[in-house]
Amino acid sequence: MNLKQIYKYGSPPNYFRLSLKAENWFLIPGIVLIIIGAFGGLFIAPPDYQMGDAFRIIYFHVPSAYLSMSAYAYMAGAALVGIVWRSNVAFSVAKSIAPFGASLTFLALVTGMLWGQPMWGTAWVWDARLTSQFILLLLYLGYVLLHLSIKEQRKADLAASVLALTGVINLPIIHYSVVWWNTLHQASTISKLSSPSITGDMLWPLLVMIFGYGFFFWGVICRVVASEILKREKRSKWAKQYIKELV
Amino acid sequence: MSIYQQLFLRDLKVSMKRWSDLLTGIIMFILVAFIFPLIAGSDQDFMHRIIGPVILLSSLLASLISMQNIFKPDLINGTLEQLVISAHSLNGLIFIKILSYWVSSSLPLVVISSLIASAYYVTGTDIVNIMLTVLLATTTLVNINSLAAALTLGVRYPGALMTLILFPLSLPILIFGSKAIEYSILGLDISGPFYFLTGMMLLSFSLGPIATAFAIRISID
Amino acid sequence: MDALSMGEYGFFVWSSFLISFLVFLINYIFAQREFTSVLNEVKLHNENE
Repeated sequence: MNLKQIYKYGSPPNYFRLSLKAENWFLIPGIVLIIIGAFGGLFIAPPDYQMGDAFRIIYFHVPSAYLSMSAYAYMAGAALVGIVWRSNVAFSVAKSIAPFGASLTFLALVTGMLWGQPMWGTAWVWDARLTSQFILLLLYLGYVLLHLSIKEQRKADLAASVLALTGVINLPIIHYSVVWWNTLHQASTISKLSSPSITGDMLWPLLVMIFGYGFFFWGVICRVVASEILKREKRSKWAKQYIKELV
Repeated sequence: MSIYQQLFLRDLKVSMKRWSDLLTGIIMFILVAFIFPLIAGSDQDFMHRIIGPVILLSSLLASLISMQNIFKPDLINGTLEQLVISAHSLNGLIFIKILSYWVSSSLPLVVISSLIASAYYVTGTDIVNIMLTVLLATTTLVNINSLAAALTLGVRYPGALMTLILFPLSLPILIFGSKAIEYSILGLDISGPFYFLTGMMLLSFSLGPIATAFAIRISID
Repeated sequence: MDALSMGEYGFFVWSSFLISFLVFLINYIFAQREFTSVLNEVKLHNENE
């Protein structure tokens, strides 16, 4: 395996072209999978014995929650690469992931509340998952806000990346400590959403949705990363070249 | 006298001169702890239940309100720049700065928390435990505050940003700190939360200055 | 229609669907718009040179 083939994508013009080329390879499967998964989840999967039709919210809730956490991991990974290798490409990726990641966290919280109201009778409960999702939203927002507040781009990149990394260290601590705290005072009445004892007919739309969300996410990120790279390098020769090629 | 001792003493002297800045944090601590019984009822059981959270919350808010005083004055008068370009290890210098900031801003809080504890009808060894909790928790809080302050050093109006950075990072300390106080009052074994607080203190004092120094270098350029 | 009411939970299920759809749509549209605006900016910048 020729490493040079990989290293060349560390340079902005190559990564730019790569993400534009890859965009539709992610978007189209993503959209198809989401349509299939949503249809399967909303219409084909049988209604749950205990929860009736409301459990269908799971098909929107679980993928967004799962993706919001893995997106943060990707963001922190890109931030680390950016700091260690001082890579503009990596910083662009990290910066691009943040807004979509934040909106996925928001989605997870909202669909969770829509689940909670009919199921538990209350839209909010102070349990580990809900609070750590909310913390995740704050971490994303802090990252975005820090980027917006610091005018000089290099400084903003580095500072926000430090923030992203300290957030990662924090995430398992928060989840863990809140679980410990809650199990002392409240009996855990929350049903585990990722229960393995879920029948095949209900399971496959969930898996399809998870993959669909992931593909669509990366498709959109490709476009956003491309914008970010172009924005940073608008004075460069390759940008001029690219514009000429378009016309 | 080594550079570290000199810096430590210099920082202490300077913060003594700026005693009104120190006072902001201390007053915030006292006021928040004071307000709760006034507005939420003051029977003994209730006070014993809320003293854990109240003490931790007061420490958090006190540290939040005086966060800008860690680096901003030194940035303005040029000392911070001198530290950065000096031949000495910035990690070590920042460690000393954070340590002296802790001594000047949080050590008084440890003493004051004993008074607040007795005002909340707490007696005996519980008061010592509360003082110990404040001691441990503020060490970590001071490091998190320094990191947040260093990250927002170049920002003009960092208010919302500071809170947004501080809150998620300080959550474990708040949770375990109030648990420690709660366990102590209930008579349960306090070693669990205290080990966690000590662990967080060691972790934050070892990694905090490094991250803060890095952030200062970013902000100062 | 049975699908529209989803037991009595129609509002919750379809709101989840709707808001997920909207968030995805908004993100997609923003991404496209941002790209075209950056492209125009670069074009303008190069024309002014």
